[in-house]
Amino acid sequence: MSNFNIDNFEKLLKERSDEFKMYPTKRVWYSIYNNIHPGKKWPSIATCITLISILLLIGFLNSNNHTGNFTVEKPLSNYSVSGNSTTSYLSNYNFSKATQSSILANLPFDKTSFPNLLNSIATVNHQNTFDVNNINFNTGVPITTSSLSPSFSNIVIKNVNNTINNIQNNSLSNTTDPSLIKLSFDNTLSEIVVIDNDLPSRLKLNTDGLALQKAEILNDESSSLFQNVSVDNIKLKTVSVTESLKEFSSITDEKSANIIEKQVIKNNVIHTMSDAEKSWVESYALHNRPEPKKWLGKLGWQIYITPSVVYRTLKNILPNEQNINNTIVQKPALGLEIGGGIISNVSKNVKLKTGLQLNFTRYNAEAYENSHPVATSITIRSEMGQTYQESRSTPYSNNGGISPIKLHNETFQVSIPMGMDVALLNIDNLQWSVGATIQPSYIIGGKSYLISTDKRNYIKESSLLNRWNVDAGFETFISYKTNGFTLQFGPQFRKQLFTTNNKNYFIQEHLNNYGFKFGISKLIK
Amino acid sequence: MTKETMLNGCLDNNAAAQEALYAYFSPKMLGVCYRFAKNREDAEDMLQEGFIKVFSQIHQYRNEGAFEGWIRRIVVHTCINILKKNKKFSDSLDIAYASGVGIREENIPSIMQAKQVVECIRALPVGYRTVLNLYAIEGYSHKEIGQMLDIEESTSRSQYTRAKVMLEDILVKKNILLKPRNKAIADLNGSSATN
Repeated sequence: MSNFNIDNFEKLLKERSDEFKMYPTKRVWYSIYNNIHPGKKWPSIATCITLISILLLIGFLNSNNHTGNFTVEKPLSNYSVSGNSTTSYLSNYNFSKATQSSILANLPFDKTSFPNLLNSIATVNHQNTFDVNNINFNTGVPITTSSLSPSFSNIVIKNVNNTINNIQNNSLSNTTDPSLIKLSFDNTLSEIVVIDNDLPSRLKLNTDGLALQKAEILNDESSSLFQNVSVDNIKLKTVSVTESLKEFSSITDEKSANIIEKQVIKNNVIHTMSDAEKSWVESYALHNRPEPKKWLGKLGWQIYITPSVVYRTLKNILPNEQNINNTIVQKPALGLEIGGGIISNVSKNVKLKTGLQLNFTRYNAEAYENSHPVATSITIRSEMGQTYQESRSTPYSNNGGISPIKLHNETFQVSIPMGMDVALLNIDNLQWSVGATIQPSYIIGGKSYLISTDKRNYIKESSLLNRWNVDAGFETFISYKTNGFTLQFGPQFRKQLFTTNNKNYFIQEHLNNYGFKFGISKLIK
Repeated sequence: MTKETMLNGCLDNNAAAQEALYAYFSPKMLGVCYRFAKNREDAEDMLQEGFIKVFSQIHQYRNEGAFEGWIRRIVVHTCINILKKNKKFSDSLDIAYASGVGIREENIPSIMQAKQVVECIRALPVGYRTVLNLYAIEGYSHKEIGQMLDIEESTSRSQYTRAKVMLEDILVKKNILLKPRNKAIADLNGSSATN
């Protein structure tokens, strides 16, 4: 060590200080870049956003239950009933989430021109979802002429499991405005149905996706009842449910929402369809049925979560070195994987799957923290195969210090698992399968504490983390089908194929995750 | 890539040139920041803000003087501005506080080369080391330091004097700096008289 004379104090300080250099982590440059080029965020951010967007889109497209404030884009349009084939037509409108628990709609009809009672029911939602493929009104109690007497009714419909189990007939004989039919809905779905005297006990509405184009009373089990329907020359007003439904959508107070009365009389225009119009509509409905989609029943979605325990294995790439795993104390810690994606049934027993998965890995190093950094170094191997040491400073010691501390080596990753499941055993609703995936992974961030050359210190150095890695996943699981969903659970092993840090760092680290996967999947039908 | 190419590229907001310039100057500038900062993370934050200013103000560089010196001035001012946001730093510039402050010399590591000196500087109280950094290493006058730190010129002087004594003491104890002969003799005489 060279000593300096105190007479050259300032000179010494300046010279020595100017010689001093430190190498910043890559994070600094990324931050600078993102700041000076705000329109060109670092590719990792764009990649993450894109992948997450794709996941959300897949989730949205794969869900039949659409949520959100419901709106009715178009009002209920011309509505007509004629002859024995009682039919109603609705214009397109979309439903989605309705948070109110109860709805009472007052739909106006022209009582005077409506000798045989005709009621209309509009609306919304069943348990905040609207399954347009499964609207099936099955009246729990017969609707009789007496219950739907010529005096218009206040009909309360409760729908549980799509079954109308309660229809109350409150005479509106004392109603000041007899031109109104009051309809209330309790906590449930909605539609528009046509009810006449001697109405059959079963009504069914055909729908096409979210667009309700046609609603018709099926003449199946209760065909005999339809024989008695005589609704010729019935005229209906055009009913606008738009405003009332929009207003209902804003209702959140359950008490106040229990009974809501809304009169929608605006824009009532009497309209009667001509025979030509009726035949056109019927023809349109007949010839414009949705094409069956071939992929339905083969594609499905899946979401899952896998708590795991993360172990690491270390390997010293330098020759003649003792086993690094025995010289440092590192403990496994809890990790987590959350993912979702699509599955495709190739055959009865083989499924292909892909998706997006977020991973969190962590293991702990037992160390000691000193009050002041000490100088140390890490060994790096150059591209030419030669090794050299880079100096670092760190307050963390491996061999004793002021206070014990756990250093968390952790990474946050986004990966795209691609693989297959093979069913080995099928028993009724139970299935035993094995699966494997290959998972290209992008490391979004993390913390890495590297062991120093002399193994006496830990150095926080995240800049050496590899941004890309590849993992392999193996799993075996039991799946159980119930209510259209498939639940699955089973152990999973995930192995990191390439080293966590730069390959030139003298210690190579591979992570092994032992987890237990819980998942749920559903075929798209 | 030459400095001129880097400079011209940066003037055109060229990302490759900016990265090259950053790669060239950042190690030295991080060393500068590290002398002012509490730890490496703070130093990197200072470096980040400094280079953002460098790139946003690069059109103001007039080719007068060394480019590195221009960057260094921006980085140093950034460090000072960040330090001034910390109330503890402002308090540490107070003479009364500074005169009574202890030194953490027991924590100074036995390390080699330039970092040895830098770590000794960093062992000083923040107010002392800031003034010492600015005066002895960055070459600012006490008047300029007073303006930068919003303190009196005399305060800067006294801070520096105390910082220098403290640092000399540390460097001597760490056997980095030799005691001047007359001071060593005085110490020796003092100890003999005591005996």
